[in-house]
Amino acid sequence: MFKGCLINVISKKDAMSKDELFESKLIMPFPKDCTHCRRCEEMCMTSAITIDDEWRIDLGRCTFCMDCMDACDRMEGAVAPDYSLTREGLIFSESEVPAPADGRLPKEFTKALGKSVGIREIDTGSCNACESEINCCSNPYYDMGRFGLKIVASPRHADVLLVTGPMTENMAEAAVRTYDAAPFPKAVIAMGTCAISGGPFADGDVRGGTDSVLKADMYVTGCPPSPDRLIRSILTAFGIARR
Amino acid sequence: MILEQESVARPELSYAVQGYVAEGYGIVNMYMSEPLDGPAQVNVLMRRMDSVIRLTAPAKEVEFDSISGDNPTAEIYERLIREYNGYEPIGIRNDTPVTYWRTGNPPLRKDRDPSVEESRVPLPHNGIRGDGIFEIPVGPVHAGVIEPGHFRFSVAGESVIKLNVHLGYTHRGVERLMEGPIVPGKIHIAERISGDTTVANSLAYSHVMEDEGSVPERAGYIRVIAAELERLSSNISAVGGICTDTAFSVPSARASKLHEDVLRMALKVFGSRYMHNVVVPGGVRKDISSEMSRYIERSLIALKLDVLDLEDTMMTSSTLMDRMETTGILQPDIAKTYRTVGPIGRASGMSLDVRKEMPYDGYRHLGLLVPSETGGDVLARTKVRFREIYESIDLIFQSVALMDDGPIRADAGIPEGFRVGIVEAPRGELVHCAEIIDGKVWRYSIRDPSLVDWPMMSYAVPGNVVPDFPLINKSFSLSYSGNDL
Repeated sequence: MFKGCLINVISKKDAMSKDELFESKLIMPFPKDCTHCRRCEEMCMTSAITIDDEWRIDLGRCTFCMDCMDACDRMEGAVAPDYSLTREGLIFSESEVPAPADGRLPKEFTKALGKSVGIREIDTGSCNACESEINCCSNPYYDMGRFGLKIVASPRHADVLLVTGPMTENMAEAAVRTYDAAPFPKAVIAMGTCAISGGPFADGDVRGGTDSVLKADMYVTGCPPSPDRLIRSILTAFGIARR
Repeated sequence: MILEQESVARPELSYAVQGYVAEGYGIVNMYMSEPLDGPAQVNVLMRRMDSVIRLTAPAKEVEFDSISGDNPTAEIYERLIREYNGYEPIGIRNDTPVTYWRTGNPPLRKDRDPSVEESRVPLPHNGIRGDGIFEIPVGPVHAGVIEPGHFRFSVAGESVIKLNVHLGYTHRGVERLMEGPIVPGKIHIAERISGDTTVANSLAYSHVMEDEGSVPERAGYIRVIAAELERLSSNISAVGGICTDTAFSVPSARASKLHEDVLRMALKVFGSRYMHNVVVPGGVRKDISSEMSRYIERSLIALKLDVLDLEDTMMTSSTLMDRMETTGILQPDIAKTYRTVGPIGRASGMSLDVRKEMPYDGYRHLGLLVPSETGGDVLARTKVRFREIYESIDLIFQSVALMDDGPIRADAGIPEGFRVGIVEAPRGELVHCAEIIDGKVWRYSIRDPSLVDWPMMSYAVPGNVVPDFPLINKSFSLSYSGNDL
């Protein structure tokens, strides 16, 4: 499905290949032969890395700043999964090598929505990089409309509530009222590190991630998740993509 | 930068500020700090060209004397101090709340007690009544993919009589999070103050934390390239937004393609679409190879041709010109009174540009033309943005040509005392101030350009019809998260 769309993209000397365009990968820190020296743990701003008896990383907290990679030579990259349907699915330890995500949302969503998904975005305190990426999803390179994904203007038309940013005290009520206004079935997607756990703002005037107010059905990793990863995650989770 | 500090007695602050304003200084930041001992202090930061003055005056217990009667620029800061620090400005004329905020627990107070029960104040009505006058509330969740903010229009028929802007929905407590020990990770919070102003914010943070002159020359040029790429992306997306909101779909699609091209260029050169982790105190993290320099030049030539074509399409369309001309006029005298910064100020006769007046990093060696218009309408702002795009491309060309081999990172030194970093963000003058005691940040104050430009909406929108509001909003293209912090 992705290959066909590249006809639209004019080929230039510096144009990115189709792999770069639609198969972009998020690199997450992952150690090889970890000696548990705790240097990466000390460097981590958002406490994503914890070392008890095993090295452990929570992708829901990681901002992918790679400070830990600078601190330790043993830190090697691994490809991070695009999304997870559970919060626990974002936590990896030394022995569990992250695998590409392929989980499907429950039948109640996929059956009712068919092949078209209306997305309503709620910004609950994001830094606007996630908004910029969502807007980029509609540009001529990605053009998510052709996959049946569209941004709708009202929660009344929405199948998916795409939440970005940590849940600030001031947006909590608005988020709940937007959720209530959307018809069933509705899936809540937490997009980006802040929406999953609060990220770097977890200690600020925020309640935490999306889960503190609404229950998220799906978590998309990245800070911010790039447009193709967001599109790919939604298509895979809703079973629209024919791979 | 020449920094002077002066402390004045409480009643004399207003006169002192007025005196400096008469000498050509302008207020760039004003904030409340609570020292370890003694009463709280009102800090006023003023700038004229490259000299910066910090005036401090003590506050009374929970109040301070308003200086906005004589210096209207200070008004927005005083209203914010009232809401965020809980100090009452005595004698302030405009006491409309700036933000959707709660009472009982000002977030920046040092003696803040998290257990205190908070209550939200309902936002006030605009207070305009009469036959056929209605009030339209909009937000905080909008129809488009934009950030949350609440607007209240009072309308008679289609025309807007009054607009009140209430923000604060994305308040995350950034200033408080920046306090505490200085660790390298703090820059990642600064990068996420406003997602599309990553480089400018990390640059201002770095200026606060590094000794002046410690940055190697090559790093200075790389910083310019990163900052100008960001400005390109911001201005192109603002121009595209104007096309989108006037339903001028072909140029809108082309602008969004160009925006993506710039983000891709950033990804290829710096490894991140929004240029996270590029600037660090003391230099930069990522070097640019000579092969990359050629790539930047090639791509920018192609980009410039595309932008010229886009400008031609827009400026020769009579329907688009009809929407843009005389829409949302911000009068030059109002822009001057409130010291409007950035492209919005420059479209209303101001010519403030930190890159020119107080050159930092690579800008010291680069030639720069500050575009200025006097129309103050959407068209003038669009023209300024187009000329800034060409100016940014030119600056990147100059940097790439002047860049010599050398180190890209040096020892930044240990910051102590009062530090200030002022840079030109895509939206205008961005100010970071820090009071550092014994290696710990005691108070960190951030003045995003959006803070001073948001109230200008209340002057630009009245007199226009409601459907023109999105267009004016896009031509301002301000940040909500940078404003709310």
